[in-house]
Amino acid sequence: MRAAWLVALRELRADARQPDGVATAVTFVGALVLVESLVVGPQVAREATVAPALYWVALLFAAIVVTTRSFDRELADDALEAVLALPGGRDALYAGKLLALAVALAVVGAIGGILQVALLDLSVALAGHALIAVLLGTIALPAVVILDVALTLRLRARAALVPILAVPVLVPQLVAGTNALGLALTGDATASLAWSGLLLAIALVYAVLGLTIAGTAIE
Amino acid sequence: MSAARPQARRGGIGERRLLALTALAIAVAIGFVAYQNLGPSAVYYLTPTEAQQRRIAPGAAVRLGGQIEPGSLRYDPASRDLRFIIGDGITRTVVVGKGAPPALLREGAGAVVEGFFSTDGSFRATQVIAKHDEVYVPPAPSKTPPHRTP
Amino acid sequence: MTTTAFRPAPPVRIRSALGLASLLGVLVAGAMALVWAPPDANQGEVQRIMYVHVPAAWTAYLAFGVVFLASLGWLWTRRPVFDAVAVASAEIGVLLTGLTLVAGSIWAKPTWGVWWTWEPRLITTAVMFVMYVGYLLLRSLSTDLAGRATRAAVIGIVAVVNVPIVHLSVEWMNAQHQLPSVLRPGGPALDERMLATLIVGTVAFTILYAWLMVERVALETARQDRLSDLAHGGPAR
Repeated sequence: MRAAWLVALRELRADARQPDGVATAVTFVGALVLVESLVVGPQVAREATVAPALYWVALLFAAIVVTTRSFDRELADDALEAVLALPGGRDALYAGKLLALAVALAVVGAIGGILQVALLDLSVALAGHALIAVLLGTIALPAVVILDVALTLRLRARAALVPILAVPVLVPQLVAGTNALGLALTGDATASLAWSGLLLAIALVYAVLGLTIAGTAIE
Repeated sequence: MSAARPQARRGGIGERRLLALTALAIAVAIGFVAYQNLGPSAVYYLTPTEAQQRRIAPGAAVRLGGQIEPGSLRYDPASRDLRFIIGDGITRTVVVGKGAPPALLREGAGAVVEGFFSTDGSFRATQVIAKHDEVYVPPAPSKTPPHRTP
Repeated sequence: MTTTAFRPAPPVRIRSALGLASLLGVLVAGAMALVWAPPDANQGEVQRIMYVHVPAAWTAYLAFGVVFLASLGWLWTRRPVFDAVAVASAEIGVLLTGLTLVAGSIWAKPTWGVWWTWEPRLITTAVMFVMYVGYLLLRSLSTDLAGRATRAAVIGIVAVVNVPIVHLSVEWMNAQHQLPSVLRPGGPALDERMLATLIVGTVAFTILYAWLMVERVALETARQDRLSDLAHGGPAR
């Protein structure tokens, strides 16, 4: 447990010093939101059923970007072995990365969300509920993506494999997140919280699964 | 091939199992409560009564599901106008569409229509799907199956 | 480091017996499905596609369940035979899921009126298909055998969480796909001859699965042995 905190803090400090991962992800999310809105047309993109979906797709790919960057940095610094050598090292690595990446994604998600609201002049009825959904997503998405990036770490076709592996597994999270956000936009508090609750439940299941299996997945 | 075994961990493994199981139990509990409260947002289609209760705005994309009222199904091959009434036993909605209906669309049987309400209260269907229930029975003797496979 | 003693293939008797049984099973099930079972009062003859669509779906679930167990087996014991079972079952499962989707689509067009609709059960089945194709892709892009087996095992375990969601999805939401006809609270909603044909079809598919598994696992273990021999510079004594 302590080791996980150490890993997370180390990661966050590295991010603060060298925010290129977060910066890339923010730019990526911004670009995606822009292009998505252009492609479907701003009229369609503003709808409470469409805007959240576009947002989550952008956030999903941002999660892949930050997670990949995070692991690449470990490899570059040769720091991976040091962490894995710690007792319970692999699990601590997973937990620590999950925490740190959730924070990084929260920053990316917040900026991306504000951007989308501004670009499309979205009316957000329940901002608090929207924030809850996004924050839960910042845990739910990396819980799966970390596993997929760790699994494909030394493979050449990694860039293509990670989305292929992650996207199908994340479908329930995306559905729950989209509904939670959409209902927050239209103002249905109970239903939005209910979908957020589902997102939390799914995030918990995959976090537990990830922690359990991290021992074998990370080499 | 190396025969690597998972590292044996002292002490913490029982605790961690308990923690994991607790987390999973909490997840199931939250999921259950959440599922009860999803309400009308978790449906594939609305019944005509639900659509009315929710006051679906004209022009908004929505799916309706119900039974086709006997005697109401009309299709004109020349103009390709399709018309029928869909109901759930309480509310009836007139559905208007263009194009041949699916072969299995039958009066008294179920249908799901995608489209939007128009300002006069009728439903403009962009897609009509026949819905059949899960009961399969052979045809009564001396009656040939009404559906002909294309 | 395990030595690779010469591993004989499963006895020819078992393989031929299973192969023969599969052939018989398919022939009998086919005859029942096409001729003996009555047509449906509503859908007519096209309803017979059910005798391919439903057994294929059930056997696919079985196959992916086996992938899960074999994945656990590999992670627990690191014995290569578990990896062989996992990949064999995943391949067959992907084929069966593809067959389920295609047969379902062919059934949907004349009955529902559309080839496809974005309805929970169809979506989750398609997602399941993509997940296991991803599993096979991951395997094909890995080079070291032990690493490949481990990676695949992790995915095999993660993916199986999706499989129960497929079956539950129909009950959770008002759905286009009809409720299950057999696993249903009032008991099966099928005419007796239809139910019998369905059961025979499922048995036939399962025997076919077993035969394909035996053949494929034999092939994979032979491959493993050959690659292991190459790695160790010649067959072990």
